[in-house]
Amino acid sequence: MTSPTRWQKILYRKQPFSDNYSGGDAQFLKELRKNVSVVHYDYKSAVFGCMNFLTHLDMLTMYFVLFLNILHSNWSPNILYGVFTSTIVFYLFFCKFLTPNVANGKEHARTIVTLFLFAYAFTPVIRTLTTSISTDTIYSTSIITAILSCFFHDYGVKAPVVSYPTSVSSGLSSAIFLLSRLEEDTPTLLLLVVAFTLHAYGAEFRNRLFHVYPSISSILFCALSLFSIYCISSFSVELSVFWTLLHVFILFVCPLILVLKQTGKCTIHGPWDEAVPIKSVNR
Amino acid sequence: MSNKIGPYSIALVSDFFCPNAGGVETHIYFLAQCLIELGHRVVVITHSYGDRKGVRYLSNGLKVYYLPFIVAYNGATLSSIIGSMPWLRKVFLRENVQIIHGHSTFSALAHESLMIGGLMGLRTVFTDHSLFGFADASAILTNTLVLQYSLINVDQIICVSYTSKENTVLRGKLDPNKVSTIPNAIETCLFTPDCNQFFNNPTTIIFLGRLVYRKGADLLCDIIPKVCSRHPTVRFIVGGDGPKRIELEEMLEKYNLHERVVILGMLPHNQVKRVLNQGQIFINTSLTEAFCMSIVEAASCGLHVVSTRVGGVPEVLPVDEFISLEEPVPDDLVEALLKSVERREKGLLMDPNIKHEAVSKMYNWPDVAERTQVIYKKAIESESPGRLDRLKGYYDQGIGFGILYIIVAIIIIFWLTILDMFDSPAKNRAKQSDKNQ
Repeated sequence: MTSPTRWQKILYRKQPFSDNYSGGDAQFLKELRKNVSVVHYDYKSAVFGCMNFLTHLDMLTMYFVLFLNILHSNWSPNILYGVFTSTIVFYLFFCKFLTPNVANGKEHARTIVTLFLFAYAFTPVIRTLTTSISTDTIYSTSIITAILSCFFHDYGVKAPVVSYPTSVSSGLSSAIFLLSRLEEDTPTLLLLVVAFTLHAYGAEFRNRLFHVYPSISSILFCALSLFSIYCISSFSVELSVFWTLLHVFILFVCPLILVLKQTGKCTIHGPWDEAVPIKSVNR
Repeated sequence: MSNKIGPYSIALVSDFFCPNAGGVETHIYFLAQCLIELGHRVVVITHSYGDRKGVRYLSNGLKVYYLPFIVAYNGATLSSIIGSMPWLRKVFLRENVQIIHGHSTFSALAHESLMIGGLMGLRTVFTDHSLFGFADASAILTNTLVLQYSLINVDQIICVSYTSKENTVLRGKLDPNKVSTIPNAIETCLFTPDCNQFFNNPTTIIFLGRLVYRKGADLLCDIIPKVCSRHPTVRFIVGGDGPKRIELEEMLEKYNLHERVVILGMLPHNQVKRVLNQGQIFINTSLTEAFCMSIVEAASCGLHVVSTRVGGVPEVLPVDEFISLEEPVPDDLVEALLKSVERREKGLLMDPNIKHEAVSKMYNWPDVAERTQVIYKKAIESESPGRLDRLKGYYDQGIGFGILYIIVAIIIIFWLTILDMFDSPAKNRAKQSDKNQ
């Protein structure tokens, strides 16, 4: 061990080497490791992840479409009852097939009743809250807050930008701005409930669905995107063409860019990294 | 090292100096003292601390310039490019400085004077005291915006451990031959063991350090109750303050350990020896550390050290005899601590006086100063790159910020030329030699 010619990575003993020697090429940076925690995505999984993102975009668009059709009385208000019932069906489906742990019925019932009563009580206030503001302002603010909500939304990827409270509150404010254009309380209440379920529980439901039933959710996504394109075309054909192109770009081109670019990923690790303390489990 | 080196005129530059306390500050103070003893002429340049402005002489004869610069963030000055340039130039000329030695990556003043001094044709040396990762945003910004450009034109670089050297070479994209490793040292005569307390006190484990995340305060909170539950009598003394102190106190409440764990709070540096002498085992839970002076201080006081295996720590002390290393996992550290306690109870730990002697031979400031002056000699003997080569150095580091640095350098060159016309360097030097006679 104490052979005089071999250099050691120690400071406590003077070694017969000059101070700028550090073991030559063989020893220097021996502990350097590269790309330890880097995740490489393949094209298929990247496309699948984009489907999750686009599903949320389509759901938001469908909400806007629903609102506009109700506002202009293109669709009968009965459709709202249908959508409302479907959220209940989705909830039961989630409890039965998707939730990872057993659903606590009593707790859920209490939450639902509380939220519904609050929504019911505050609907007149919410509806008239921003009535005095001009319609153009309302629409633009609503779109901006909706985009903001998409930005912080949870698409099933752990990222520092994901923030549930920011996403939900900006999404809800987007919905509430719109509601001020309606005349009656009942459709307002129903739309509010739909918006709340979409923003507060949509992420969890969708992420679980994509996790548990990947093939069914892909089919659902295709149906949803086609339907949203069709619905938009009834307002503006140009917009629906643009919407289709956006779908193609996000679904096929963006994953391609990711896959091509990720070969350049390079992270450096070594003994200088800040250690991550492992907490004991049995605290 | 038989033939004499120098004497040189050296300016040690850093934002961090007395009255602040810390690793860099201590390093500069003792290095300056030992360099003066070797016959060099040393001044320290730092920014003003409150009322402490202007030129001061410390009790060991060290001349310190406290320049009135604005402190921007975390004790580092705001780089104002030409605002501080006349001041630094005047000081360098007045003191007839040959070598500028900057300390610490975080010190903007050090980087600024290295740049200005380099453009004035002086030799430059830089000491890096810290480790950086490559993953978080602040580290990436410091590496690519500051360090890489600042170090490219520095003549010689010193790091405090081999791990730190590897890190600096990677961060600054440097030639490893330009980088030397000279460890820190401690003033061992201030850290002497107390055999009476060592053998007669009940087994005591000491922790000294700020109670923050980077020093592993969370690990400490995990370790203490586990050790206390598995050993009936062992005591803990925790010195230091910080945001994690509340968690520590909560842990004491939860496990009812007030009788066995003493929390001392903030300690002045002259109290450290007194606290260290009360124990036999020292625990260091740092998550990142370039050198770790506190474990050397503890070993000098005769304590056995149990530490996490991070950064440069494994290089500092001989494993097993002086230090037990473990990964930063609470259960492993608990095992290591209990093993050390067992060794202490069986009387297997090294005698504190022998340990103190051994540590005194490993690390002392005169040795550090001697090794540092060899670096100075190399810097003086190397050919200084011209101003154009320096600009090219910035250019080669990447065009984006390279342009910014080139513009700054051109502005500095312009003002240096103007100042040289009105306040010629030769006259300053002549004044200085008059004073010396």
